[in-house]
Amino acid sequence: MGHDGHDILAKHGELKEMPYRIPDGYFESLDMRIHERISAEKVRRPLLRRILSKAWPYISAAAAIAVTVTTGILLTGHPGSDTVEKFDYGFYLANDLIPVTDPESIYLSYNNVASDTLSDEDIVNYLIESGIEPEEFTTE
Amino acid sequence: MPTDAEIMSLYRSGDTEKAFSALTEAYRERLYWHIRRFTCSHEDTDDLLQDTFVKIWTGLPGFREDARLFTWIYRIATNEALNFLRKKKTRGLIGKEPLENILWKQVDEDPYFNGNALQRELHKAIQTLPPRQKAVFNMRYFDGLSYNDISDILGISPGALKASYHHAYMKIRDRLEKIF
Repeated sequence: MGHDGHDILAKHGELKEMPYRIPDGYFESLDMRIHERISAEKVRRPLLRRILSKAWPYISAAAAIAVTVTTGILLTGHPGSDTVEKFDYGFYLANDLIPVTDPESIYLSYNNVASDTLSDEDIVNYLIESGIEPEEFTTE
Repeated sequence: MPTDAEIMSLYRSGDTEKAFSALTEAYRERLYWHIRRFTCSHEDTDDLLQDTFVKIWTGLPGFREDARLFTWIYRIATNEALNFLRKKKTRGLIGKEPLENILWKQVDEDPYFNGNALQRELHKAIQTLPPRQKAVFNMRYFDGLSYNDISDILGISPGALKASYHHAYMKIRDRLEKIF
C-alpha cells in the first residue's frame, strides 16, 4: 500500500491506458502491408520446398558418407592410438563429426576459426533454432 | 466490430477478402497493444503484428473449430512476442547488455510516449518481470482477461496463473510505491 493507504495500481485509473501515440493512418495501411507479406510468404514457401527437395539427395548422400566415415574411424581406431577412448575431443570438433551444441564450442569456433564468416546474427539464430536458452550460455 | 463467429462464417463461405478485413478489423488494435507492451517500440510492434497476422491467416485453414478463435489468435501473438524477447535477450547477452536495460532505454526514449511519469515507471517496472509473468500481468491488468482465458492462451493452469499474477502485481506495486 502507498503512504495514503491506497494501492497505487488500483488508485490511478490512467495506468490501465496505453501512454503511446500511434502514427496517423497506421491501421488504415496495415491491411495492405499484411497482404504484401502474405503474398511474399506464398512465393517463399514453395521456393524453399523446391530447394529442399532438390538438395535432399545431396544431404542424404553427405549424411551417409558421414556415418560411414565415423563408423570406420571408430572401428579401426585413430592412427597412433590403440583404443577409441584415447580419441582427442578436439579431433571430433575439428572434423565436425558431432554437432556443435555446447556454448564453449560456439565461442571457440567464433574466436578461432570462423570469425570472418559468422556474424552475431548467425550465432543468435543458431542458438535460438537449437533451443538453447539465453541463460545457458552466459559466461559469467 | 465483427465477432469471431462472423469472421469464421465469412471465411467458411469462401469470401476470403471480407473475412480478412473482418479479422484485421476485429483484432488489429487489440493485438497491437498486446504486442506493444512486450516490445516497447512501435517499429518492432509493427513488424511483429504483421508477422502475427500472416501466421493467423496462413494457419486459419488448420484452425480447429472446437477451439476459440480469440484464444488461438492471442496464443499466436503472445508466442511471437515471447520469441521476440528471447531473441532480444540473446542479442543483448552477446552485446553484454541485459534485456531489462535495453527495454528501459526504449521506454525512456520512445518518441510516441505521451503519458505521465507514473505511466512511464509502470511500463519500465513491467520490463523487470520474467517474460511469461509479463504476459500474465499484461493480459490480466490491461486487457482484463479471465484466468481461464489466459490459461487457454498460455497453457498454464488457472491456479498457477493466479499466483503468478499476484507475485507480479506485488512486485510492480512495491516498486512504484517506492518511487511515488
